[in-house]
Amino acid sequence: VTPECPVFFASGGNDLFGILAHPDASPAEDLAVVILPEAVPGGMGGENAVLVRLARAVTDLGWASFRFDYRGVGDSTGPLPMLRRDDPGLADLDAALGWLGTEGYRRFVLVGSCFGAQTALLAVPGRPDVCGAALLSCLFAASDEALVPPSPATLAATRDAAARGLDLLFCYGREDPVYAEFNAARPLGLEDLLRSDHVEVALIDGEIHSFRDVNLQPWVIETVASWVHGVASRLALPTPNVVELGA
Amino acid sequence: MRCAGAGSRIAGGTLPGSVGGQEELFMCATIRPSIARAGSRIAECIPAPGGTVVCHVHLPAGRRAWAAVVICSPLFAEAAESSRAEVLLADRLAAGGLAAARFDYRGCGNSGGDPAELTLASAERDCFLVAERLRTHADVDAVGIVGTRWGALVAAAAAGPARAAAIALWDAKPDGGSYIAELVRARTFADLWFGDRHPAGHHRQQLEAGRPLDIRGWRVHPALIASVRSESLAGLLPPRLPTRLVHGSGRRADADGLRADLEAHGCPVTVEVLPEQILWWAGSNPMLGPPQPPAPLEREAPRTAAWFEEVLAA
Repeated sequence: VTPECPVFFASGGNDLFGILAHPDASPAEDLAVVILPEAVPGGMGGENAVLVRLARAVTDLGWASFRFDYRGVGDSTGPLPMLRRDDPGLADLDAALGWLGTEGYRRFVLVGSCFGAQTALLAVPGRPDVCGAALLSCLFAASDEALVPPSPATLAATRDAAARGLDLLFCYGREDPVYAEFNAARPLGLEDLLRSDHVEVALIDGEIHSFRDVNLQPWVIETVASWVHGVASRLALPTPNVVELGA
Repeated sequence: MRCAGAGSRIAGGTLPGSVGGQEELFMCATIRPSIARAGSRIAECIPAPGGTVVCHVHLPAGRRAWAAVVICSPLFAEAAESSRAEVLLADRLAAGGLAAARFDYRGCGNSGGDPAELTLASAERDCFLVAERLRTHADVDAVGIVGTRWGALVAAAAAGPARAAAIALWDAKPDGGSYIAELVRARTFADLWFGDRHPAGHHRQQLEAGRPLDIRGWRVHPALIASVRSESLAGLLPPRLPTRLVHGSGRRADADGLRADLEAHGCPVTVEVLPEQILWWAGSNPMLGPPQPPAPLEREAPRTAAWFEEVLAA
């Protein structure tokens, strides 16, 4: 079993709590899979610890995993935040990636659920070190009140990821209310981006939002861990030395 | 690499008088606890058989603690519902000069271990382990315990082995049977909400047949049910232990019944019935939507902390 190490790192005057697990023989020593929880007061251990189990599945496949609580949530310090779709805790993710950078990690695959997916996706444009993102029940509407219009920032981040050839996984239950947001955004600019070879959409009958169906939790963990393994394995390949002959 | 798990051997130990009898606490403790510190907060992965116990210690800032309190959480959605109140309680205890520890049982949250193997006995051992670590960190002997819902049974079971001097029980059920009945009721309400139809008594029968019960994304395993079915708080609690009972409104019967049981056991009991209900399985998410007032147990946290200050000082 890979040891899990508790850490604290600073963000906005608070001490955020995270857990790092790095397998002994990771094929990519500078790569970390960063897991972002939903916006729930219990933090990463909540929701039947699905994201904790996912982090361990990723580590079992040979990749470093890092999970943390937003400020004011779970075991991080600070007052409980009110989170909004247009303010999804990017500063805390930046602080987490900054701390991981001091530990030698240079490339990141992000995994987020619901609000955490929003954080992960909106981080893409400003972070060239993000190499891929698995987005569970990702929000697409601009507000809680209506399915459309889609959030311009979310569409722009998806466009940025597609332009960079970033690997993206969108994962929904067909009965997730947020899946309706995703579908409503398709004809309004999302569909073209989904045609990229680097974008996958994984669907299952039922709801995976908030992981309320115990029987769907293994599908979530296996689908995401397997996708992460594929992406991380490609990133771990040595860059070929290209020698131009006959110039 | 970055995660220094292996290290010097730590001392083994035994847990006297546990629910499961005399049991070895550390089977092969070749891994040292890994620790992170931030100001007066300590986060620690404590090695234990079957997985690590993740523990958070809150120390008084800038001074030595004079006593300590271990906080035993509830399970499932109830743990998420009480997490904020527990953090506030720990912070308030630390502000009063007491060290406090919160932790995840093995099989829960960030701790290691198999959720299917979580029992009252395994949780009692985790509580004992955390109490000993807390004594080490805070360099104190006097320890109190808080237990919420199922955690009240854990707190009561661990109070003797951990040499607790006082105990506070938040929304406790008098016995394991009535706790199980509430879990079944939570599932039945979820069935009604989502339109699932089952014959009357179906979920109870499933549990009695040793099958797991799923409640809104949480799986209740048979080993857990079997471990508490015949336990009662009064039967687990050492006699004459000062006890504070806190219940949400609508649970006056639990408060009165427990008070009678514990006073018959020689425990001096104080009772606080809050003016609001505590919605363990149906609370709204305070991080979304309009700002909400503090939850009932968040308002209770300073009162429980003050009670420990008074009782442990005596």
